[in-house]
Amino acid sequence: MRKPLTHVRALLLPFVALATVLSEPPQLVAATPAAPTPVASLRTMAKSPVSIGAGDFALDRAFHTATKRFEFQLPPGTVPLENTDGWFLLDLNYVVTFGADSDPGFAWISAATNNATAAQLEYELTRNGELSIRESRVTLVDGQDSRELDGLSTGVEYTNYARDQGVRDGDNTFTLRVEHTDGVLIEQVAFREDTGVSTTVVPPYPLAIHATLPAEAIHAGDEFAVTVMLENRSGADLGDVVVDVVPADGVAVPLDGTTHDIGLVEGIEELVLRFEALRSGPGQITVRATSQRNRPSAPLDLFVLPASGTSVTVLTLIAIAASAPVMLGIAIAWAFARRRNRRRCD
Amino acid sequence: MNRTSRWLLALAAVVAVTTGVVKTADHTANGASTSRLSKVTVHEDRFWNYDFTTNRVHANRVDWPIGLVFFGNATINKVKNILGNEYDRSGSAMWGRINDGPRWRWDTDRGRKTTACPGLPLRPALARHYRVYADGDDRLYNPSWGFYVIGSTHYDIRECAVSGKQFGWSENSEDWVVWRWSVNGYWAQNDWTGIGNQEPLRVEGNHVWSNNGRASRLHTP
Repeated sequence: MRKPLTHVRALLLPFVALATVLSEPPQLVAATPAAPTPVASLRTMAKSPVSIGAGDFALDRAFHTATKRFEFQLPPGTVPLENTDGWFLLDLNYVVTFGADSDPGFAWISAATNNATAAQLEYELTRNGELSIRESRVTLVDGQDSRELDGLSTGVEYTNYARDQGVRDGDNTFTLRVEHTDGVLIEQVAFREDTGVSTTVVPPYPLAIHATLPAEAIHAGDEFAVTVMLENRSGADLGDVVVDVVPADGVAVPLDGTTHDIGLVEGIEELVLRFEALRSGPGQITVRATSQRNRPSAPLDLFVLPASGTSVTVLTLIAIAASAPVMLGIAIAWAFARRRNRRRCD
Repeated sequence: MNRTSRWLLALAAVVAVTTGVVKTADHTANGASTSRLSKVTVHEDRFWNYDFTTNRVHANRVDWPIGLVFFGNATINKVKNILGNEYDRSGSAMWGRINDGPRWRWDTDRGRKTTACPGLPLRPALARHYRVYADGDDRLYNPSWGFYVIGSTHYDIRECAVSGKQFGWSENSEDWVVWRWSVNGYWAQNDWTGIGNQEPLRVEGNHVWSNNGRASRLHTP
């Protein structure tokens, strides 16, 4: 693996030279991540402590279900433009206690805004003499995680990004939902008053990648450069960043290898990757980045022109040679057609 | 008929039955072929639009097209519980290939089917069978689909009979999963979105391709 020729670290970059492949202008990133800002919590939405007990469940289709619904309002203009100013988070914090005589089965505790679920934990109860409980979760904040409970009760702190259009200006609902399969015993789920909705400036997909081709035309045989910019939008260090290249098959090949180990990205990192155009025609180069959090990619469509200096005569001869099979086929078909017409006239 | 002839006849019967069992295994082990294998991307989640007979991505080792997206508040265990009043038997395992952002992973699932070993005496001749896949903790999440799992589905016809085995008709089988989901009281949308795995009617041995390339979505509240 060879390092690229140029590896530039920059916090402030001149963006005007970048071409239209950029999806959005990169932004400066704060040195430390700002803490989420509460928007609505059970402290303000509920009149009293919120809990769900064994007597709250009713059979709803496949599962025994209990829900608690709350309302909150946001003034006009509160909801930020998507993917630019901020993102909503759902915070789900509680203590759950299972019954010692519970049957094996499953339980789920979830939260939703406007019926769009964005917080969820699953519990799998198995029994081999004693009851074992395994909790699993998925979030865009921390990824996937699971653990075996030590006993019948556990406290949970969970945060995840809300659904697209999951929160709106004006009236909103916030719903807590607890479900379980037949025979599972849930004695209580006691929700903490900081359960609710908050906002953050940290995006769900913190690493962004932008890649651009040179402005001038690329001819077969040319060496050209692709400028890649990595942007860490999380406000915290992002490690284990690797950039790799999927070259355009047969059209262009990378000259500096396909894998580049970047390591830590604190703000904005720029690198320049060299390619050689092998032949004329269309192709796609994909530049991908991996990190501890997400794996963005940037496809680049390119069109390589014939080699510079190719004469018109040569191009004409190439065109004639390429079309010769087609012309021969037309001639043969015409000959057969004439012969058939002559027979009809006989 | 002398004793030797009777023994030979019994041996021939054993061989015939064994061949039938091996042929069933052959169907699942070798896989089928497609020219439409591709990746589906939603936000930064990715998955292959077919499941596989082994943990290897290969266009000649696919099993069935992905045609089911259970979304909203789904997990694999939730889906199987909701459909469990009809799909209550376990089948053979296949593989799904999924990337939830950080990395690609394999998931294996036996799925659920309406009848175990169809085609045996006193058993129905056919079964409908689905398999569902997700990442490590049995579901994925993205802000568009919420918590979701993906699935494939097909018919198993005379699977355990001596002859006449056929497998496939995924589009029709998908329709029946959507129907059962709806009858059980949950919202579903048949043929919601294209994911590039359309398969016009085509017979490949006992593997019958039939899929319109549009996955259905089934909401889990």
